[in-house]
Amino acid sequence: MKKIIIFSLIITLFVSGTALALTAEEIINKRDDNEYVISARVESEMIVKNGDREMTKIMVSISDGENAFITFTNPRDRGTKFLKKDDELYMFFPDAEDIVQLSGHTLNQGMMGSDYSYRDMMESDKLTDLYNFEIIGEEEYEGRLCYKLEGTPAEGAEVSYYRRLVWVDKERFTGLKEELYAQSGRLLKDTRVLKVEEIEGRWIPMESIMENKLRKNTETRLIINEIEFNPDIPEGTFSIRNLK
Amino acid sequence: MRSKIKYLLIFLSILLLTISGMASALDIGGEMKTTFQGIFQEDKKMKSNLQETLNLELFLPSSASTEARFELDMIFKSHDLATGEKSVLDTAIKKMYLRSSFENFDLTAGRQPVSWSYGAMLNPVDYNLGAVVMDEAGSSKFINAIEVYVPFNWNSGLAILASFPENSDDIKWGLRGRTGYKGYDLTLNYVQEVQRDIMGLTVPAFKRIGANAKGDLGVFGVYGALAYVYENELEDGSFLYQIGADYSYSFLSGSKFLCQLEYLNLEGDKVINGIFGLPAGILPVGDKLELLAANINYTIDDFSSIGLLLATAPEDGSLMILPRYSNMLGNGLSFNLDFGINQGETDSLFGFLADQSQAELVMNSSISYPF
Repeated sequence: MKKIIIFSLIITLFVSGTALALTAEEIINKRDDNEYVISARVESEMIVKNGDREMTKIMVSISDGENAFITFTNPRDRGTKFLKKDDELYMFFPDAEDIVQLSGHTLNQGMMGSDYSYRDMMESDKLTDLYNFEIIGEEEYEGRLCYKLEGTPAEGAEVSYYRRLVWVDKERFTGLKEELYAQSGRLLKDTRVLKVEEIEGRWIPMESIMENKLRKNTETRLIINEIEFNPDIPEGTFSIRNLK
Repeated sequence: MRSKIKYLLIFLSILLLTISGMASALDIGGEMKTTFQGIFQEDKKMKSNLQETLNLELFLPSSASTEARFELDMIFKSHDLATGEKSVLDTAIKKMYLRSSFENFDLTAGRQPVSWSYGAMLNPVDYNLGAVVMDEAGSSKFINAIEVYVPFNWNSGLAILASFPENSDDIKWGLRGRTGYKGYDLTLNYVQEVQRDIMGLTVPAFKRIGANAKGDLGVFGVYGALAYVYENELEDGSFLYQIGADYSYSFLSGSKFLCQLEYLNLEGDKVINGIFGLPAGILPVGDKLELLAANINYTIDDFSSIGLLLATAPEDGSLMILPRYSNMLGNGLSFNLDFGINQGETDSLFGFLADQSQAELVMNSSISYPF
């Protein structure tokens, strides 16, 4: 009898231990479950700092799968809109009410002067579709125990950065820190999450800072003021008609 | 008299909104801008002008189907500061229109901007052409018009336009179809101009059939335009065409370089002068005009950039040079500095324009604050 009990305990421990050891893909999938948004309405602001100068961009964005519609509401950019549908990007200039299709090379430029490129802001694919991840350790970050993962581009994927290091909260499965590298190995950008909130059962980074490591004394802070998942998106939202 | 009517319209609009209870939902924004202009003349003298502009925009509450826009520029000009000439206050209503969305079309009526831009520096197929071809938001874009827009799908539609030019009793018509195909943005348009009187001379009523395309070719953005311009008989017209490309490169440090190059070919004296909004025979060009334009912009950091716009008429060697610098100073203030230099013989295109303005160099510096 004793042997049966001991054997059962060993089996239980073995099975439970195995179940707890998540793979890199599982960790990133859990993170994507939190942060990957298929459909949402987000009110956010972007604060760009360079030395002692600062500019704030306030925007409302609606996204649904491959499509995104962003409207800027801060005084300098009021009325400027972007429409991303499939791989095409259109911009609405509010003064002359022009709608111009932007050239593909602009996608890699900083959006409205920030460190976030148009591609960063509108990249809607899941990370697991774009990168192959591997667990390279565990670290504590800002008091939270994190998985540390390394991502390299998946075959055929069009990605913004050659290598990504990601720190994912072990309990909440939210990305708390990310380092983005060029193919040369040079650190290009560094993102740190300052505030996380639980909304509708998901842990969402509500405030984060991105620093361009090749420029001194600059940062872009992204603050989400309000987020609504799966909103009712009127038909025709992602259209040139709606830009005007 | 015209100013009084404008003020009356502004007042009535505000009164109506107040009475209708919409005042609490009304928001006001705009921009304050001070511009100092220095004109360095051929005789080494300098004229200076100061202009203060208050742009006011009323953000009126809109419903799902109706939107009203109102935007006004109040311009306070002090001409020739040295002589102390009397200052002048002028107002210009940029936008005052109602837009209603119906199930299958949108209707916009009133003073509105009409711009058929596709990112080119010189747009020969725009609805309104004229000397402000390189001005992104030139005053010629703001017209009294009625537009019907019929969408076919998310990126296709047809715009039908009727406008009422200020210096003509006739109605100007336009049609513009737009669609996308394999990543290319394509438009086809038709404009029936009106006969206008400028400087006591007549600019004839042209008709113009035009098309343009914009897309990507590898890492380059490419675009082009083709138009046929005729006066009365279809067979008496002439072609104009344009090709252009743009490219940008982001440095690892975050600064960015953008360059854009385009070539425009125009034929026919009437067409050439018409493109510049002038009667035939005004410009010292023959029956053919080629223009080469280049735009280079270097974004130094998130807040400042320098740029250079060049245009040349290769045949006569004349040149227009427009260097510029902009800097966001912080606290919402922006500083802009730009220069304009026209070089060439008197009988060349840009030399002629320099001669007309009697300026060797024009400098504009401005500080603006949006609110």
